[in-house]
Amino acid sequence: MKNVKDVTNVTTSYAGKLPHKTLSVCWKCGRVLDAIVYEENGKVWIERKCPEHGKLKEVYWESAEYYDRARKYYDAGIRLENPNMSKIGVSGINCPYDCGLCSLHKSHTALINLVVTNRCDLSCWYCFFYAREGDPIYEPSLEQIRSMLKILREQRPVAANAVQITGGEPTLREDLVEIVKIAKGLGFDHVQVNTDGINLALNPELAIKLREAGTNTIYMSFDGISERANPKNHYEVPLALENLRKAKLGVVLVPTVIRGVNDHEIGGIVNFGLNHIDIVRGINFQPVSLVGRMPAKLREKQRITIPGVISLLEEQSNGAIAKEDFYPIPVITPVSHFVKAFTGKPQYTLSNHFACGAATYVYLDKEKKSVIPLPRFIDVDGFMEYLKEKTEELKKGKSKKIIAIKLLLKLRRFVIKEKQPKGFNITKLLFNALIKHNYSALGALHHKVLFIGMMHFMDKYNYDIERVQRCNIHYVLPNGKVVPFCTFNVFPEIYRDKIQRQHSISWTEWKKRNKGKKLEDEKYKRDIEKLKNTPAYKEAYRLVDYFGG
Amino acid sequence: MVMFEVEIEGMRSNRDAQHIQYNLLLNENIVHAHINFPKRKGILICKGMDKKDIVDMINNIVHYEVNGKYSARIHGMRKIDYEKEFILNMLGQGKS
Repeated sequence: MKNVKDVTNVTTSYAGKLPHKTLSVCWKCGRVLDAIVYEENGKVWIERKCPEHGKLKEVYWESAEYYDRARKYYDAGIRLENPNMSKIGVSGINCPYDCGLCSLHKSHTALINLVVTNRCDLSCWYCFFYAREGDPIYEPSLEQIRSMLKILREQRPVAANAVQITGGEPTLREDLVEIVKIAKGLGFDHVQVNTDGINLALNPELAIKLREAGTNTIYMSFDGISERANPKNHYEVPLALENLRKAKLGVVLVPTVIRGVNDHEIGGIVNFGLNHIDIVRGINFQPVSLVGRMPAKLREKQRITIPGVISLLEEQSNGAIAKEDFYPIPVITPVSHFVKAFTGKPQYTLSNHFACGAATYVYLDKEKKSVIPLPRFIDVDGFMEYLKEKTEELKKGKSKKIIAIKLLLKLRRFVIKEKQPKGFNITKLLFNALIKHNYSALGALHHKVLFIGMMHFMDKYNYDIERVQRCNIHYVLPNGKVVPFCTFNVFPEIYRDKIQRQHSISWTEWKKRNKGKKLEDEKYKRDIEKLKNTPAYKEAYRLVDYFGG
Repeated sequence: MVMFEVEIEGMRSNRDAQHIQYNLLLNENIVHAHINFPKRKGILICKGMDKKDIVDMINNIVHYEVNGKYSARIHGMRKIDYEKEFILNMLGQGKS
C-alpha cells in the first residue's frame, strides 16, 4: 500500500504523468482526502487514507499504457463566466460539497440532465432511484421545468444546448411532449429522451409525437442481445426500434457494462447496432458505477473501466474495432478552438476529463460485410495538430481566407485514400463543417456510420475530484443548482435524494391527484409469448455477423 | 427559512471545513451550508431549527485525529427566502 506522502516524483498539474496527486473522498464518511493515482501491474489505481476508516485502493483504469496515451489529449477547458454559486458568494473551495456550479468548475454544460419523474414502470434490482409505494413522488411542474432549463440557457460564454429528459421513466409523464416543446422553445438544439423503451414499444404513436415535438434522439437502455444479459427490455427493443423507424427518430443504445454479467456481449451489442444502422445512431457503453456498500471482492468481480470495455470489444469483434481506434473525448477540442478562432464566437468544447470518456466512429460497408473505423483512414492526430497550428495563426491575425484555402488543400493529406470507403468523401465533409459550418452532410452520414462511445461515471470507491471538476454532463435541480453527474449521483444524500425529496409531493397527495392510482398499476407486466411472436422480434435478432466470427 | 452565521473552533484545515459542511448538509433541514477556513466561520440556511439545534449539531461532529469535537457559537441570524433569492441571483435579477 502506498502512502500519499511517501510517493516521490508526483505530478500535480492536470494530465500529468503517473504517479499523480489528486483529491478523493472517504467512501464511508465523505471526508475529502489527498489521493494518489499510480500504476501497478499495468493497471492504474487510486488510493487514499481516511484518518478514521483507513486506506482504500481501487482500480481507476485497467490499462496504464492507455492512460498514458489518453492524458495527452487533455483540454484546459472553458470556465463559466457566470457560475451560480459565485453569485451567492461561494467559491467552491469545499468541492464537492459547494456544488451548483462554482467558479472552480472547468467545463461548461455540454449535456444537461432533467429528471422529470422518479416513477418507473420497472423495478430493476440494481436501481435505487425509482419510487416505491409510500415514497414521495418527484415530478417538477412545467413551470419549474421552464425556469430550470432557462438557467442553463443563461450560461456564459457557452449556453447549454443539449438536454436529456430522464427519470425514473420519463415516458410515464403524460405531458412529456410538452416538456420536449418547452426545451425546444427555449432554444435547445438537441433534445434526447432517456428511456427503457417499453412505452415506445407498446405505443407507436408516442415515437411520432416525440419526433414531431422536436426530440432528436432516443437514449435507450440495451444491456445485451440475449435475454439473460438484458432482462430489462430484450423483448421490447425490437418493437421500439420498429416504431422509432416509422417515426424516423434515431436511437442511441446504452448498455451498462458489468464484468461477469454482460461483458461477453459487448461485440454482440455493436453488431446489433450495425444491423440496425438505419435507425441506431450510436452505442454508448457505460462501465458500471458501483453504488452502496460493496466488499472489495465483489467490486473486483464487477468492476470494469473504459480500457476493459475497449479490450473486450477488440477481442469480440475479431480486431475489426481495436484499441487504437478509440480516442478520449477531448480529442475533438482543437476543432472547437479552431472554429472559435475562425468565427470569433465561443464554441461548445468537450473538455471533460480525459479518463471519463472515449469514442470512435465506424463505417459499415454492407456489401462487403466489413466494418472500418474512421481512424483507419483519417490521420486524427496529424489533423488535430494541424488545426492547433492554424488556430494559433488565426489568433495572431492571419487572413481567414488564406487559412481556409490552406486547410482545403491540406485536408487531403490527412486522409488515406486507398483505405477510404468508396463514395465517402471525408475531406469535403470536414471542410463543410469547419469552414462553412454546414453540418447537414454529417447528418446524412449517420446511416452509414455508427458512433461507439464509452462514458464511465464514478462512484465513491474511485472518486476523483479533479475529474468531477471537469465534468460536462450535469443535472439541473428545482432549486436552480446545476450539479455534475458524478456529484449528483455519488452524493445522493446531499444532492439528488435530498433536494428531490424537498421538492416532492407525498405519496398520498400524488394518489389523491391521480384518483387513487397505485404505483404498482404502472409496473410493466410482459407477455413474453406475445412479444416473441411479433414479426419485429423475429426479425430484429436475426443478425448478420459483421465481425466474421 | 433562517440564515445563521456561525463561528466554529477546532478546525485546523480546509479539510475540516469540508468535513463539517458535508455533515451539516446530511441534515434534511439544512438547505445550504458553507464553512470557511481559515476564517473559521460558516453560513447555514435551514428550516425548523433553532440556535441550540445548530450548536448541538456542530458540536457532535467528530474531530478524528484527537477524537475530540468541534465547538460552535452562533453570531447572528436573519430570515431569508433562500430559494427565491438564489434563483433570482442566478437569473441575474438578484440584489447582489
